[in-house]
Amino acid sequence: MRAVDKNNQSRRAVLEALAPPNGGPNIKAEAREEAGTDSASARMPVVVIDDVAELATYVPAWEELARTAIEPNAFYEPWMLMPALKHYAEGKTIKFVLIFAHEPGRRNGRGALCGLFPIEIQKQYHGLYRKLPIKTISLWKHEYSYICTPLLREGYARETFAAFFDWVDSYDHGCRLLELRHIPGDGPIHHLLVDIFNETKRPSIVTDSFTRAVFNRRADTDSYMRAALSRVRRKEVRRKQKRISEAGAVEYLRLEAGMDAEAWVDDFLAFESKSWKGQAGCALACDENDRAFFKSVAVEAFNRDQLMMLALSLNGHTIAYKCNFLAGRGSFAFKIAFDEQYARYSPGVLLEFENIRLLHERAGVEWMDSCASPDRMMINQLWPERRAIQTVAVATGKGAGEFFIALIPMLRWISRKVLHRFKASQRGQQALSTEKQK
Amino acid sequence: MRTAFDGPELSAPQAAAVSTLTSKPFMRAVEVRGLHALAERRADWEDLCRDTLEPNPFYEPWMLLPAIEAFGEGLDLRFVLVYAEDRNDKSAPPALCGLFPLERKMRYKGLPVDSFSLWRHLHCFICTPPMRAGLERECLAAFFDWLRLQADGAALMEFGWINTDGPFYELLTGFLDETGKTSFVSDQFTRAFYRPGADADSYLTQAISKEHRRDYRRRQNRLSEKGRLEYVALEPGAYAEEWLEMFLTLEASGWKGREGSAFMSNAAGQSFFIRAMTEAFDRGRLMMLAIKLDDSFVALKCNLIAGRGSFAFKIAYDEAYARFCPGVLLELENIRLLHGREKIEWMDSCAEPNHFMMNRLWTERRDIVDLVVSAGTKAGNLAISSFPLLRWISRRLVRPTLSILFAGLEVTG
Repeated sequence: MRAVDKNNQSRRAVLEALAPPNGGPNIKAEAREEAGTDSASARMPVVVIDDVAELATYVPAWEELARTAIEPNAFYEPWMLMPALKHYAEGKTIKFVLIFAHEPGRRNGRGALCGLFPIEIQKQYHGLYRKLPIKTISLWKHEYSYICTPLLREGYARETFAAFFDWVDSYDHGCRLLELRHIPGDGPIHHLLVDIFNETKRPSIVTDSFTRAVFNRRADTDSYMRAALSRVRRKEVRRKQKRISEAGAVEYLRLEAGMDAEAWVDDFLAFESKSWKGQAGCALACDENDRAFFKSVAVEAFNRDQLMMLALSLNGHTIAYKCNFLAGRGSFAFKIAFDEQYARYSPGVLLEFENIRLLHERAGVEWMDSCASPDRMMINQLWPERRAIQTVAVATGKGAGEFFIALIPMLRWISRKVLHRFKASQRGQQALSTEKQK
Repeated sequence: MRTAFDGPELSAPQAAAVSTLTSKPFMRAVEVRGLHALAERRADWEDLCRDTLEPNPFYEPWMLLPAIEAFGEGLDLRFVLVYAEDRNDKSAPPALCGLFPLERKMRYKGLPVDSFSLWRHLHCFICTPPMRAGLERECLAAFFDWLRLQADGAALMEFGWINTDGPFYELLTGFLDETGKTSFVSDQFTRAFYRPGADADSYLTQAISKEHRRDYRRRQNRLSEKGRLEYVALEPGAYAEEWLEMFLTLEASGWKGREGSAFMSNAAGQSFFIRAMTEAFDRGRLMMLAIKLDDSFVALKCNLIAGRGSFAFKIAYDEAYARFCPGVLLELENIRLLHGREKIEWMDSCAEPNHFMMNRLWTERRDIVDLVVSAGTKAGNLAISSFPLLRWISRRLVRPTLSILFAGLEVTG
């Protein structure tokens, strides 16, 4: 079925021969070019950066890349990632792999920035039931980044990905495994990965996958509602809208250009910390670091027209807030909060409806990722479509990494057997001890 | 993003069958062997196919029955039918809710493990089983119960060549997660997929570069210099037999004929094609288009319509005209025709993952996977867990050793 591209095989053989046997010198901020191969990807300059100041010099190119990316990812845009580096990178080894178009005429042979992969180098592999001492490269994911789609320039995505894997195979980083964490399980980048893995026969395994709600715009709000909700549910919503309007003056607010974004953000933070999230200690304002990160990111997003904040107020009191980040034709639902005192009016649901209406009004936004956990009832009902999110473990080069990838299902099987027995024996002991107490 | 399927359209009879159930139905799985036993249940099956979660023409009676006759010989084929019975009304006839055509094999990918897999013959391009919309979850659970209890002791069940962008895959993976079954994606590939653009022109402008468009126009002009060039479609009520015979002849004259993979290369293939396509035509499910030059066929294409989707089944062209790329010209015509048919929301290319032409003309992709699930036995769980490791051992240790050994033998021999 899968005829193997012969050129590709021979290219791999050449690359393997060229790759340094072990470690290699530190290639910090130094272009490494593979001469002697005729493949486009092999000639793309790869630059690895671990210094924030140096990374900052690439911000304009990076922003341009984000605008032309085949799949947008707000979490990997500079305005989001630079503050994240400041707040969440402590104690971690974070590096950035930048891949450029090959242009011999330019300085260093570097043309436009074609790919950006933020990576974390970990001494252990965390993908299984317990940490294993295998050095791993992962796409960097911090607490508030909900997807790790790398930025790839439209029209160059295949070569750029191939160049990234060539770099991964070079073993300059000393890691046996590459973990593509939280990447989409559908869409162009996923399809590209499947093709590349098949062509190069690279062993990989999906170690985690789940689905979450996604909004795909329709012709208009009405047709969306009709497709998404049954008549009974639509009626219920109308009843809710009616009931809240009987309670007082209802107003849907939104943050617009020229308004005081900082005040909105502060109000949202204070509002969220008063809700159950604040009491549970998981509101943004509960941690000074999270608070500072969110504030700087939201204000920056507002300045570039990538922030969408909306609120619902009843008799002048705000009773629900929602905050989304926009990125090209995509968007990401970041946070929602509501006042439980008004729970009987379902303010969260009403604001989600307003959100659907606004998204249809806003030209250019095709989809919104809910960023919600898979079992979130409310959003799953309002947005019937799903997107798949996966974590894929990939071997770097041949040998140990490849062997480990093949071993993962076996390790899981063993752990299930062993853990199962262990738990069963624990239960037995507990039963014994309770019996003794009696 | 899953937009290819927005849930099936419930046709009246099936919807009625499901809605008349007064309570949670009792599901019963029946195993049937042999063509005749299956053919006896054809009416139920036809009814099921009108109301499926995801349409699959390859598993509809008019296509599968001729396929069993043509390609089923010597294979151990089983058909698992899942029926829903009304708990409160015992007199009501049970409704067929799912059909799983299975092939039993004594080995799985070289391992001595007894397995079942969704049956895929040479001309079958997707194996998503038909399941009644609304009862799909119960149906899948009943199938897995059957799998666990079957007397054959098969350790594995392979869902080969199923698409991941539809409701069946979502259901299956969700079910496996919830029930904690051991499963493994043993293979995965992409194939070209069509979804309409705003209109044919904007689709073609977006998909194909200016140079290529110009090139194809030039080829079409050259071809039309050879005679009267016509794009024609097989109309309902027309004489389909002539088209089908012409298709077989053209296909046999090309590389498929030389390779022995054309329908005409064997009697079974030929009768399968004629029978299945004639049925498809009678049911209004066959979409055939052609390029004619002075009334003789230069290229022919057959598509199968399935609900709101469709499958590009086969294409053939006269190699004497190869330099005019008649295959590509017909594919371009296909895109124009599809944009005129609003009811068709997608078409699966059924093409190989590295199919250069289709990958260029159709911008979207669909994922196809082979997902293998343990039947629930200890042997099955272990087999699935050790499969990647065994594959690694075979690729990295056994094969290199063997090749060294054989090389040595050749030298000494």
